[in-house]
Amino acid sequence: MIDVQPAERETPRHADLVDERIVLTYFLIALFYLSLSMVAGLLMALQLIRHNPLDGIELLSPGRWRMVHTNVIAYGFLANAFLGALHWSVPRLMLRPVLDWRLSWFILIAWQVVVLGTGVGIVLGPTLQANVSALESLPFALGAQGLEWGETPVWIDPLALAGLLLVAVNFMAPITKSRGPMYVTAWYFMAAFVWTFLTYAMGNFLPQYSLTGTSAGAVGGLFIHDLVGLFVTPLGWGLMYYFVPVMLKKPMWSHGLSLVGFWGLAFFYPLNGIHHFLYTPIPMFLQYGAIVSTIAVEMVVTTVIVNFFATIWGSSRALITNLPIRWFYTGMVFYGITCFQCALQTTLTFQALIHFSDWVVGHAHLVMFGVFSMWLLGIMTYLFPRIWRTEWWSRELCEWHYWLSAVGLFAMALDLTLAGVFQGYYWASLQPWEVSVEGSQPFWVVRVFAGLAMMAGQVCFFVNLYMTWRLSREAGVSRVVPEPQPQAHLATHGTN
Amino acid sequence: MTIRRARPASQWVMLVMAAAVLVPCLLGFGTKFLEFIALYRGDAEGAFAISPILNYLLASFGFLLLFGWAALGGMFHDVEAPKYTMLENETLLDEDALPRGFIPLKTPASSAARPGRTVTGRKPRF
Repeated sequence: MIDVQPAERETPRHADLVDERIVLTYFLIALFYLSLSMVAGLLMALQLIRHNPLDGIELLSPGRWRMVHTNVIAYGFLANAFLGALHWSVPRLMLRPVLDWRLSWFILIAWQVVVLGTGVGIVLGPTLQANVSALESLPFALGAQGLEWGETPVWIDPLALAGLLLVAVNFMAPITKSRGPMYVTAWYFMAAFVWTFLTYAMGNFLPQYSLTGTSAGAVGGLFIHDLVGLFVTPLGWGLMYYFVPVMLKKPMWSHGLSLVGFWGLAFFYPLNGIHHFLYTPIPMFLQYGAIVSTIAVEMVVTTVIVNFFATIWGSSRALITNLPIRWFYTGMVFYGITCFQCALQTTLTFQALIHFSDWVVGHAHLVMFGVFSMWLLGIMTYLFPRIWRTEWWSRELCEWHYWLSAVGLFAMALDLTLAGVFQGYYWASLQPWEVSVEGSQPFWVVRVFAGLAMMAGQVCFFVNLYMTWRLSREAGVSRVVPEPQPQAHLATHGTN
Repeated sequence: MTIRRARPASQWVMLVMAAAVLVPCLLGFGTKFLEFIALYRGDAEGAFAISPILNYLLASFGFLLLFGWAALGGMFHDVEAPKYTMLENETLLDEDALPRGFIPLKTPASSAARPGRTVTGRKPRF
């Protein structure tokens, strides 16, 4: 490693900014949760084709597994992976470390308590409360909260909110200290820290304690969609605006256009959520408002996609040779497809057909795995060997990881989308419910195999990861650890 | 690394797309908001929509203030500059973060051996 004295430097050293151990720990924990969520998803898929291996076990009933599947992917995999990527990108982008590394480690532990508490609450909560007399009289449910994507038990919510506040404080410190025009990634991150906190508070507390009926439903709709649009979307796009230029070694095509995308998201996304509740008792002007907002966001999405594809114009060979870039751009293509689906879904005619059907499940998988998980897996593909200072053990396994994940996900999304259309027409024809269930069986069988392909892809990744780690151990490569704070010698200029 | 300055075409695209986002959406939102006020005045039933709308207005107002602060602070004077600064900083940071010539994932053409080598050049032993 090149050793340059601080006095001679204008830019701080990577080692002063990034604690690679915390990045690594977050990524490994995230991958554990990804595996858990996939197993839970597989169990649900087997239940639908009437081959549930855990049939009759109350604690492991499909209803609880399903919530474990969704919550673990959102708060276990995505949140942990995002936090790992943020610990890499924020300090390097702002040329300042996070507020305090001890706080970072505390947040890491606290967040695992939140995720594990959520899992335990969902699985054990209802049974414990029904069988232990001391718990029966509690004024709140130990199990899942009755809010889609917000099933985090109510007793975990305050801790989760405190954790999100600490995350915001820890990462906002380097961002707010910067001077001069900010790069678009910093805008996205800054907004995400505020939005995630507010969205979580709105969704988990307002319907629980102060709102009832349709009003609570409307806020629930906002929460569901804002969780995607104001938590994972700004973090995901922020990371893409950072990693894509870094990997392509060329700047974004238009930074101005990226700012149009950011401010468009800021102003038009928050009202989107009610488009999940078309045809409900929510007043039509509000439903139409959500549709208008969705159209606005479609335009915003177009600006972002145009910008990224204009950036890779002339460097398209990177899509073949550079695996992380391929992960990123595949995710962007899936993002375009999901947004196109959104445009269809928010038309009242189309909504009447696909509401409550597997179309929505396919759409959710396309967003959560096809877009954000793909981006994060691409980031991991880039960062693991950098952190271990060791090449990937096998390029072939990296390729298998990509292809099994991408093809498996695409097959699953296509399959569920078609299933949704079929189910919609079954219901519209007023045939008995069982007919639609029987008609869905072939689609659900395909879904199991598509899911198995995705799982096989992750197995390739884990094997490759383990072998690469062994290589790094044999070579005795040491990771970079930040020096104790405060880093008074860090340069204060040149930040973006 | 060679970094080229932004082409004027990108700025035209930015302006056109900004207009395409803003104009129809402001019209749409404005109309719906007026409908909401009319409904709220004439029918108490409309009141239950206050929560989501208030949430939205508060959040948007916050971002409006942030936008104003950024604009007045000169954040958008040279709107393309940050993308160059970021890349230049990254190059400097990587100079001492990685051994020279380190490639995390070699392309099939450039990869010398399977499985890979460590940065020290040692072959793996299993």
